Amino acid sequence: MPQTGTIVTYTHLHEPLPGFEAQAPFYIAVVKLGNGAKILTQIVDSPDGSVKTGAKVRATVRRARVDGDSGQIVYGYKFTVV
Amino acid sequence: MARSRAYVASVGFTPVGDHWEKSLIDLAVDAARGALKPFGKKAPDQIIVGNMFSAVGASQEHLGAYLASALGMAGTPAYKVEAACSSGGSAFNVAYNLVKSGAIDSALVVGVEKMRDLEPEEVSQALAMAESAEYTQFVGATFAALNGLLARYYMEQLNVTRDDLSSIPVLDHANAVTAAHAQFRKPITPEVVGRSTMIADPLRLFDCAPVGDGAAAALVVNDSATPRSKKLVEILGGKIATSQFSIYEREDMLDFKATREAFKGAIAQAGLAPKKLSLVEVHDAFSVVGALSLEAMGYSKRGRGPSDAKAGKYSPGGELPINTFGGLKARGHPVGATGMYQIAEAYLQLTGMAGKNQVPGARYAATQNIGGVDSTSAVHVFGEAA
Repeated sequence: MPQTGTIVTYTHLHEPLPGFEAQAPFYIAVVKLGNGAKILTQIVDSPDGSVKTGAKVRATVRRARVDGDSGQIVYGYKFTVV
Repeated sequence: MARSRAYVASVGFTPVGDHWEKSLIDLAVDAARGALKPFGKKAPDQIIVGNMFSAVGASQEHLGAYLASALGMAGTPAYKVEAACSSGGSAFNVAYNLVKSGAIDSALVVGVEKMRDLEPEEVSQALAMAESAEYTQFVGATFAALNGLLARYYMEQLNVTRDDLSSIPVLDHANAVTAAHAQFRKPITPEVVGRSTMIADPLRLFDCAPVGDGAAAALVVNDSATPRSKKLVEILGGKIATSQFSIYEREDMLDFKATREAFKGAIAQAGLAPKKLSLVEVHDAFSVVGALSLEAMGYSKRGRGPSDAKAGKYSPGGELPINTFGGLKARGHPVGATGMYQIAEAYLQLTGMAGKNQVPGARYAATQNIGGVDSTSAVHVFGEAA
């Protein structure tokens, strides 16, 4: 998977799915990668004004969510504005 | 088995809203009894249930056999059809094809959903199951989030304003004021929509259909099973189509291909020009979805759905009245039941039984019922029986 791409569109989500409450509100964007594929991803560690249509972003590995009572940590990809 | 004409012979439905005192199956029975009236105690050849998430919402599956028994019709073939929010329209399409083909002569279709027993975050989780677990739910995105980023893209690409977008929920609420079964019967203004709580920027609370309980049913028959006493509405066409599953995988996110194809197919089967329709029940689960649906069916040019609505094109007395009992925003959206509410409302319009919501002289109607963000679309076209 290419590591960089461009924000096609985004939203600032206030009421996320269960398991993601601690992260809310957060940005979710459609990112077009260097190879033309489009994916859905969170945009993290990026100042509010920087998350906008056309912004360049780079992939990073982050905690996606914490599962169940045993607290198993699930990791996944997120993106940051370059 | 000979091909026949297929008709809706009667409909039944509950009000949409809070039904704390009733179980999922109680709601389904209420709607079913209304639709079965012309048959008396006679069972239909099949019972088909449209429902999205009874397993999550009511700890209940196996709805077909359970409903058949609850109606005192054990022994009747019965089963559930699921296609997310288009479960109702999809269940109806199965019945239409079976009855039209002559494989069976009659079917009872019941759309039912119980959502209000769940906490709001549980509803979000259940609705998100319409999208992929691996790529959409995995990033924490709700269904509203997908529609939020779609709304931003629509507004930025096609210069649609906040005020324009608000005209669709405003229209729905205005139509619901006189609709006895609607969940919200208060008129609203564009300012109210624009000031409501932010859900998934730029979508606000009043851009989004509410959460509610409800059931709606129809009795589908062919010429061999036509009950004498009742008003018939002919099913002139019906088609289901699917798009590339998630919007972000699509080349053009603003093209509702499933709706475009399903509408094209259904209207061709009916042999009608789109402008012949007297009304359309549009699946506006979110304001932006209503707009893109009208554009996909060809009634508005790209990016013009909201401004056309604002100009009165889709209001009562306009060129093409839509959502004549309040649509998803104000009649309500008990997801698996919604497609059947639309069909019940089309039936009321074409039989002249729509009361204060009657479209004068209505002759032809269409219903458009989406699952996911236009991942599935079920469109049906109806006309007065000859």
